[in-house]
Amino acid sequence: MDVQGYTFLIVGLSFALYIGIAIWARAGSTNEFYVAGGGVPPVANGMATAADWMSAASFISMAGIISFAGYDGGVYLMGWTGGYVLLALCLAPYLRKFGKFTVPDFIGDRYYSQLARIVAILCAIFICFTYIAGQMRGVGVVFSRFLEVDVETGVYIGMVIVFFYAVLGGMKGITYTQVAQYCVLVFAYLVPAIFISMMMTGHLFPQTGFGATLADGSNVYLMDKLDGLSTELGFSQYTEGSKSMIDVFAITAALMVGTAGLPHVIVRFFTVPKVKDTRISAAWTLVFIAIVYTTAPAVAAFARVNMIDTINGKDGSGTLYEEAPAWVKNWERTGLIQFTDKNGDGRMNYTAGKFSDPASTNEVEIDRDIMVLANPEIADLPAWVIALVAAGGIAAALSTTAGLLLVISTSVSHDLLKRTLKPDISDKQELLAARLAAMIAIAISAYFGINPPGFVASVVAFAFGLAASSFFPAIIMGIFSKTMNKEGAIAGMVSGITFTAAYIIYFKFVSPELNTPDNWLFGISPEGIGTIGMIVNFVVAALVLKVTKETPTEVQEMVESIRSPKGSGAAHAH
Amino acid sequence: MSCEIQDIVQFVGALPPFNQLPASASEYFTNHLEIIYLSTENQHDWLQSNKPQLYLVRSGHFDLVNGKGELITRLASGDYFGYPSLLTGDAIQNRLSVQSAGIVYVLSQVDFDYLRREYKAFEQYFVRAHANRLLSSHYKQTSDSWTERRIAELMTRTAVTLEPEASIRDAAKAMSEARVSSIMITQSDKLIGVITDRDLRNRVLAAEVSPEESVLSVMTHKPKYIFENNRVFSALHLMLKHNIHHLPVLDEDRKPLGMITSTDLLRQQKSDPVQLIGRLYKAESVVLLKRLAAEIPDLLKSFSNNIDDISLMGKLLSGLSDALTSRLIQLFQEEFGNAPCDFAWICFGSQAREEQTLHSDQDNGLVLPNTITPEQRDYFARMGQYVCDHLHDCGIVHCPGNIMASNPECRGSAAQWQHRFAKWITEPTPGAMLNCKIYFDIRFIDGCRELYSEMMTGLAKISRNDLFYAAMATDINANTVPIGLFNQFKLEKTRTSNRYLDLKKRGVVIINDIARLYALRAGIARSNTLERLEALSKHSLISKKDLFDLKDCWRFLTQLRLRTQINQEGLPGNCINPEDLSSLEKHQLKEAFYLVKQAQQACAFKFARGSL
Amino acid sequence: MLKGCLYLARRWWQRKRLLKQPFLDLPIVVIDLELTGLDAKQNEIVSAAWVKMEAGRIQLASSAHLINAEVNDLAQSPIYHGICADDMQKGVPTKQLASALAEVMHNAIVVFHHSYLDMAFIRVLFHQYQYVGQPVLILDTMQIERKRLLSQGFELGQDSLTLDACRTRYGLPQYTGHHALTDAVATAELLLAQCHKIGQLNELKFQRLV
Repeated sequence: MDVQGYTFLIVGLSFALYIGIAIWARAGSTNEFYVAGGGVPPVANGMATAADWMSAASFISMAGIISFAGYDGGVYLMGWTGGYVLLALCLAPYLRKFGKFTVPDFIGDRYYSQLARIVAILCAIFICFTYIAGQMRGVGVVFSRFLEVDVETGVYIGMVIVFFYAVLGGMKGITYTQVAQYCVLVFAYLVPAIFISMMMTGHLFPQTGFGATLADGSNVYLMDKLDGLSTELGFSQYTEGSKSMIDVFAITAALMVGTAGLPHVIVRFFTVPKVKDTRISAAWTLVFIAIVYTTAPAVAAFARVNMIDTINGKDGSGTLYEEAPAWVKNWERTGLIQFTDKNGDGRMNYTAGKFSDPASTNEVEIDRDIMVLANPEIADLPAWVIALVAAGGIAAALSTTAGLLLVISTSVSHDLLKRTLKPDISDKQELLAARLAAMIAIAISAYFGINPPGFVASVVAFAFGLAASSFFPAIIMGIFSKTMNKEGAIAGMVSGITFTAAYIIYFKFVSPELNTPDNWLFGISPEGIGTIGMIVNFVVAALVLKVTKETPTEVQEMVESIRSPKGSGAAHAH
Repeated sequence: MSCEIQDIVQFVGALPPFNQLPASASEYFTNHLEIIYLSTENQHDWLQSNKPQLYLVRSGHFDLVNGKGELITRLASGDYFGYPSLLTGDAIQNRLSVQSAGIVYVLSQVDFDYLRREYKAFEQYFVRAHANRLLSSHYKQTSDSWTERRIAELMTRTAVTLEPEASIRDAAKAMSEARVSSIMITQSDKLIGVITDRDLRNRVLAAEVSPEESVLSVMTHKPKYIFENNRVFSALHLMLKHNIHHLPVLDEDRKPLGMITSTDLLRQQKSDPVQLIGRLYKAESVVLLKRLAAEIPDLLKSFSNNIDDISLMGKLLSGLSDALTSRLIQLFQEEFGNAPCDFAWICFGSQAREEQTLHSDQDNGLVLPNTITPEQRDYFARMGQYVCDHLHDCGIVHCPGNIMASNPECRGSAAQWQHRFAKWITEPTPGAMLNCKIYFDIRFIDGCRELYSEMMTGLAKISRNDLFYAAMATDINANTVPIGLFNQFKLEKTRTSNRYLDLKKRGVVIINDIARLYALRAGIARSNTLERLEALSKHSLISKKDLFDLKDCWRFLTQLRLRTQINQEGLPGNCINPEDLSSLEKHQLKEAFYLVKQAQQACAFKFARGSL
Repeated sequence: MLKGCLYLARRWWQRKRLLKQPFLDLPIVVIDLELTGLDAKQNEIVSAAWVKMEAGRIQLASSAHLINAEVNDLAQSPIYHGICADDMQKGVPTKQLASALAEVMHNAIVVFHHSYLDMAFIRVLFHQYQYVGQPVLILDTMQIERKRLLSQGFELGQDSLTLDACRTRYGLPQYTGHHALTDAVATAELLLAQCHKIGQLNELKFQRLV
């Protein structure tokens, strides 16, 4: 059977598995055994949370980014992991004690302000959008390769599947389906990584293979080889970052803070009945995320070495285009690899420099999103491994998208429509509005998935910056300062947002030509400016607090009670 | 040419007097029978004076009514009638009222006389039966149940009210002018007190209070009251329970409309379950109480035929249970001394929702003060044991889940109760959710209401938790409506019986759960499902149309449940085989289930951010 | 030929007039047969029973039950009707059974539950002995039930038209066993219950029952 056959088979099987589990879980959730057992065990819940957390971006794009950007790409790894820790330690336990299901509800109640709530809702919707856009592209890449169509068609197909899965299937919220998705995902990520690690370094674990010598007899460390190749081809050294320390710090912080507010993951901390189980499952989630995240740099490095070796040839003279391996041709059909024979020697030549620039020596353009998917093909692994990766990518995208779409649709139809604009709509209309919202959300994100990826990157930066400079400080101050009042929080949010937005718009849209480290404030790029916005927010809030009236005492008492060290109920505290 | 029919011979042979007679008697009887089908269509054609006959009911239910329209007896399978005039030759006074049509065997005078002559035991049996009927205190019951009517229908008087500034003399004057025995004291259209004849006598004349004093000094503050839309039954219940004779009637905006007195009600009353409630409240010993309680099932069965609003049945039974409980608590105190401190006796589950059936078990508990001592606890332990055991003997069986005041867990101080609730709320495990479904339907029964209110206020505070609502919504969605993907019924099946639909578990219970969740969210302190839904219309949590639909569904499903009591296919209780429904009913049932499903989804969506 | 036509025309006219008569005005005979099988050409009548009904009163005194003493092959049928070889000795010759049936059926209004089956056997029987037993009207409680259910929008399930199922629907008592006479009485009771459900018993005409 060829790759396509395997893909249909394995992706089909994985879907059958999810649906089967969903049916089984529905039937099982009412039986006595389930009730007596107290629900889902923490390990399973940890896996489900990990599946929620790890999106197609984590699965497909992260290794790609690291692979191309080297050390600089590491900020995503750190930012996203840090974001989870921040969420698990600083936000979720307190929101849980507060008894609020969503961040906007918390903000609205904590700052006794409808306006604050609505702003928070809009922020949440915006963040979800940018995330889904990333997912759609990921799914599009998977489908385009394995159905051998271009990316655009791939995204359309993905759109339909996600719609049926998330909106009509009602699959979300079934923990065991997500457990299965995590298993598929992690299996799909690790199997090729282990294969390649064994082949290239002789190490079973990719994590150790990453720092080991190559097994081709040259006794050169993998990293040294990669550094050598990179400099040879005109890239900066793989292990050397091009970003300044403060910029790396700022971007990491912005990413952390931005992802910590992700609404669909927070919910997972609330659906576990016991507080103790929540802690255990949060720890498990970290373990399960780490398994994938620690593998990512190794996958990136292996893929890069293999890729350069196959395109430029072992000796660096370039492989004849006619003799190019099958994966190059396959991916060329999707439009994600392009080749122009600029010097007419019939050989491919991959170097630094813009592909679109005729003067550059670079003849090959490779989309970084294909690295994880193409990796097994480049390493010549069996067809079923390649199919497995496809199933993994889809699992990652589905689990995250379903959760995010749900957040968007509930926010639009319940928080905005039912509770704010039109309180008298019926249940039927509300559910219809939710489905419509989900549908529109998918369509818009599909558009972003197809259209300029550079634009999406800016939007993502924008979203993180916004979240970091507005949302997050409001939550933190809401939890950790019992005196922070409505005026302070709103003033802080407004100034934080204004500052960050102005900075980003100036460098990204108004005068992109000035977007170089020399012109940046403190040398911080627009991607990382949210961190400064956050500081601005804190400072302004503190200042405004000094000159405005005090927080009502019942709110203060409430904050006091959620920070009390023992117990989560009121009964103990008194 | 004749030939006996084995089935009829067996049926007749098993009945008195034939079970004491030789087989030839029942064969003769059978061979000379005529069979008729007695229905409302032809009920007047039979029992005619000019042709006396003996009738034997084979199937169906018939009421034998005397000339005044009073029920003499209810006839069911195996009962004879028509024999008095056969024996005496007198004209027939009674007539029939068919409750459900059925087969009746008819024997002519000639053949009756033959059997009388041939078999002495035959004659004796009917003579004795005739005498018994004459002697027995006639079971009188009006066929239209007046207790089901609304207060507004009985109340004709206009409100006689006074401002609180008025003197006692003004009150007496106003009362005599309006020729009423009580007057309401109102302040800006709100009822604040009541003065009755008796108050004037006891609190003014006997206490030598000056008639110039303000009415405020002698009136009953915060009197009990009732709404115009309540049932007469509720008014009676209140009066009997608190031993009061005047009950102010308010409209929905709490504006006084008039007064209803015990005389008004007694004028209506002849004999009813309500009287039983009154007797329960007055029963002097446990033995008497148990004897009265034994009457409940029969009484309810006769009552149920006259009721068109099914929700009243549950209310009535709950009222009877309340009365039993209250009386037992009093009897305990009479026997073992008064309670050493305040307490509140509360009930949970179906009794609290006023949805009790004859098969419901007891769910109750005790709220005690926070300052309670171990010795005092011992007293209440004995009280719990006493009341629960005697309730069991009265037909309300022990709770298999041990939710009873005899269980120390259900006998806590207000703080202990709150702690218990807090644990379920903050750790909503599936097991905790199961408890919540019972414990969150609470109703006060007896004792100190302040204690109960204190607990409820605390409860309202800690239950305000979105995560808890989310867990409840998720739990509601775990129970699925029996409608498949393509709008067909999903039938259940047991090993022994046919395929069926469980109307209670898969319909009524879900609506109850949904009403509970919304009521908790809106802070509505009621337990009855319809009342909860009614009260929700003042909140914007759920639209009026959806509320209307839910109430409709609840009524429809409950009504359909009643049918299951006469099902003959041996299905489990509350279950129905949809094949027995007409296509219109099937359609309605599907529609009802669909609406329930939608409300369920909306719950998950609103509270748990759940699946679409 | 002409005679045949005239006969048919007269019968048609008779029937038409009859249908306009009130149900309670004319005597009715309710008949039930126990059979060895369902094929009129191969199987035989084991027993026949009937009961008369007048003005809505089933008169048990007029009931009759005849067992056929000359059944060739009972096969498996005793498990249904419970008549075994011993009982057959109390029976009468087939010819006598046929003549009694012909006598009671001729020019009468007869009722069956599932008339097609029973009438098929009876026609074979009468043909065999050249008896004439032509009823003026044949009613079928099964057809009445089918019409009623369909008009109310019920879907007819398998077995929903058996005698027991129909009786259950009207809350009539369950009779045990398949004795021809019991079944005849059961059918008569069912007919009464149906008439009451159809309504206006005192004015009910036969035409509502066909």
